[in-house]
Amino acid sequence: MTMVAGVLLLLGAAFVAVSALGLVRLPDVYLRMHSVAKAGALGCGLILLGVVFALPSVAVLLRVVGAILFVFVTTPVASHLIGRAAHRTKSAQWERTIVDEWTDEQ
Amino acid sequence: MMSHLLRLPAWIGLVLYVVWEIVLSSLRVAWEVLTPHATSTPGIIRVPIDLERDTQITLLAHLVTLTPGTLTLDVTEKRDALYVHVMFLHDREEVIRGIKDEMEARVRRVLP
Repeated sequence: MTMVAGVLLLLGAAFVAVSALGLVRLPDVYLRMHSVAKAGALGCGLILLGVVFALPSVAVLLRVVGAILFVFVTTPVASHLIGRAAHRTKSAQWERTIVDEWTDEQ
Repeated sequence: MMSHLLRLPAWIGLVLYVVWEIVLSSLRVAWEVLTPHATSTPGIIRVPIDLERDTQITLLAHLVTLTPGTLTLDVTEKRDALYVHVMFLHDREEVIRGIKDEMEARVRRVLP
């Protein structure tokens, strides 16, 4: 049990660390949102799952399921709003961006 | 109530699919972040959709964001298309087909 919990917590922490690194390393807002929306959500999910194995009980399990659902439902909303705001304010795109059909249409 | 229960297998299938896609997409993004050379070829494309209700469109937009290399930026005023940022854009039609054939069908199965 403790082993499983440890592995899940470390994996989750690693994903969160990578997504934070991506926030610094990737070249523009949109690519940075990819990093946060996906690796961040997965990292949170893994850490929460690790908590279930560290403190095994029904009460913890139910709360964790609720928390994971909440993270997975809210993260895309946040990334959608940030991406939309970035595009509306014409935030700079990476020079290797090959196409922007949204701007082309306007 | 009964009709909701009947759709339970479709919901379970959707959850498993999403979990698998999130794992794939996280690994892919992690690889892009950790390797020194930037290989992404990003672009914003317009993906036409054929869904009527707002809940369906919301679910589809979520799925697009949580799956590999795609991020929903906005929905058109007329609700007939999504603007999607793609991290590795090689074949525009292939991305659109993936969203329309795979994800839209799944959305219809859980929210008819």
